[in-house]
Amino acid sequence: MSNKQSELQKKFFVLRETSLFDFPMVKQIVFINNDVRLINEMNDKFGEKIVQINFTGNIQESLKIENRNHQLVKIFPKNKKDIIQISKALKEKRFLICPAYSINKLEDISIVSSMDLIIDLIPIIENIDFDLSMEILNYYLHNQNLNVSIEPFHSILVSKLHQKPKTLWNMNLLNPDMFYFSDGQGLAEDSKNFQNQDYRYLIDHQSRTFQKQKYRSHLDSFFKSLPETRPDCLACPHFHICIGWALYQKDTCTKWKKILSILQDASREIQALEKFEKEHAIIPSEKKK
Amino acid sequence: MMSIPTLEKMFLRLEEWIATSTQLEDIKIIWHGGEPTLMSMDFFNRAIELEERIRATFHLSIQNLIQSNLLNLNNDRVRMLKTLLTNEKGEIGRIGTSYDPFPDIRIAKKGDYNSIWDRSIQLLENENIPYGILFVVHKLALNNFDYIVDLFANRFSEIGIRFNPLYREGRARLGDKCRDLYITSKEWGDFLIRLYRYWEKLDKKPRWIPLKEFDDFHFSGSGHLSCDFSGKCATTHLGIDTDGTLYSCGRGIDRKYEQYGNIHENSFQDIVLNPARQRILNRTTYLLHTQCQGCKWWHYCHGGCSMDAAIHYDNIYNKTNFCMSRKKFFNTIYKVPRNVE
Repeated sequence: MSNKQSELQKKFFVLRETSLFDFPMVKQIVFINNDVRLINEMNDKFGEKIVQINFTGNIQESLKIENRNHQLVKIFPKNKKDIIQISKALKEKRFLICPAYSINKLEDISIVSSMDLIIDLIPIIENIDFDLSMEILNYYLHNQNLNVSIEPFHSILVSKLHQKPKTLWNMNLLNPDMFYFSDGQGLAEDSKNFQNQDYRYLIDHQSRTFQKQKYRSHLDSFFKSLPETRPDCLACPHFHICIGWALYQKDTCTKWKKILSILQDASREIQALEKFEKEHAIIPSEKKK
Repeated sequence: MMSIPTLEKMFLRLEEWIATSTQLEDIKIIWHGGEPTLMSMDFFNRAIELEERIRATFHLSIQNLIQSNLLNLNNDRVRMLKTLLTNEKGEIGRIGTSYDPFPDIRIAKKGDYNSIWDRSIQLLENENIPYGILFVVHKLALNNFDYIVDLFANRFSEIGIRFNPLYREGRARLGDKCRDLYITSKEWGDFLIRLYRYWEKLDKKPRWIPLKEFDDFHFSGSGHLSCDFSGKCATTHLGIDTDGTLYSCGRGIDRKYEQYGNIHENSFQDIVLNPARQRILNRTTYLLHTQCQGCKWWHYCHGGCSMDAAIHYDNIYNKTNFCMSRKKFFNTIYKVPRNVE
């Protein structure tokens, strides 16, 4: 295997179009599209490679997605009314709801989760007010009637409990070691780069190869410069999950620090409880007596 | 030397920590120097008393290990060490000792180093105290490869041997003589490959570290990698200097690299959250996303020891300077890493 191919043995590609599917080095795909017909067609042909579908079209249409391979499907409803109308079907489909409407109060979230729909706030959490974010987190952790998860809180908590850190970069599909985005013309580390055609590789469809471009990775530079530019990050107890994400193109990490601290405390509390229960478990034979 | 009040404070801190920790299961104490056998009998007898108190109160296992040059042993000391090293199950912890067959590499103030060492080994064997040998690989060893490996394979066939490259630390930092003994990263990699080829042909593969650990990890996945390969060193080790100052580990003490605090002022709970500890803890994550990104041997190496980077680059946010040698060894011996998720 050539070095170039080896470098391209990424686990995931995040695709907006279909033209990369024929390349054998593409391992797994997050497919972002607003056309159900195309999604189903691609799912038929390359279903095993597609691990996640982000459907950006009308959510009524999303019900036509034939999710035969049980991929993770994220949809982006523009208002709550649309969700309520088809909530039963969405629940059956187990789609993740990424609200594309503004979140101004807890009810904007709780009404959706009360219908047993999984909420995914990853794309919008930066825009939610600090106090409201804490209120939602508290609702996730302490509301006993809640039957479903709220992301990213749930994934972070589970990763802490299992001691398998899931990074905020991966949750946001930004990690040059794992993900490339493609618009069919080239591969970029961030979909924002499509606009300026700032590609790491150009795709030569005729020769079925990737042509390496002169490219300076913004993310690589950001990571490498962390000890000098953000020394506090390296002393932060949440670095293994955050890796500077909370300060990437942002001014402050206060909100993320608070979220991660609360989840850290919660995981410790759960672990202590589990330990206590284990130590004080009633042995079946004693129970009989 | 550590005073008895500092020793007592250390155990007091340990007790506080045990009382609040949810994850602690057992404790290993490695008595390291300088030379720990220079400490008084009273010192170790007090340590034994304090450990007994912890065992009785918390029902925890404590295993003592010791690293010694064996130059200060006699029958009384050996018997005291045996008591110290014996855990609650009656298992005796190992004494680790450096050994070098070449003359004038290791020097005793009085007498011939290797003769004294041989006598001490006899004392340990008489008391059935297990020991392991640390051999520091230097230029002379490279040039006398066959002599070294035959010696270890024949004379010490039942003994665990750890092979470490000569670090530019402690006495090895000083003087022209040490400079002549330094080896390069490439030489270390070539040595390991040669050593492996010799070792794999032995009828009963002795416990030669790191080879045995690599094989166990690669072929069965059940092994345990040493701290300089596991990427977990900041969570598994804590170095306590003679005055109670806390560092990452023994190598951290040697380098006096970033204090975590001092047991006279800080609890272990404070230490866990200390930024200096976090900086070492976060190094593994940092390397995974920068210099070691995409390295197929990541799970075998984790960027190596932070103190290698501190010595070589004066900055722990670098992978070990032995990266090239490790890659060469793994590529030659194992070719493809086992699937680790």
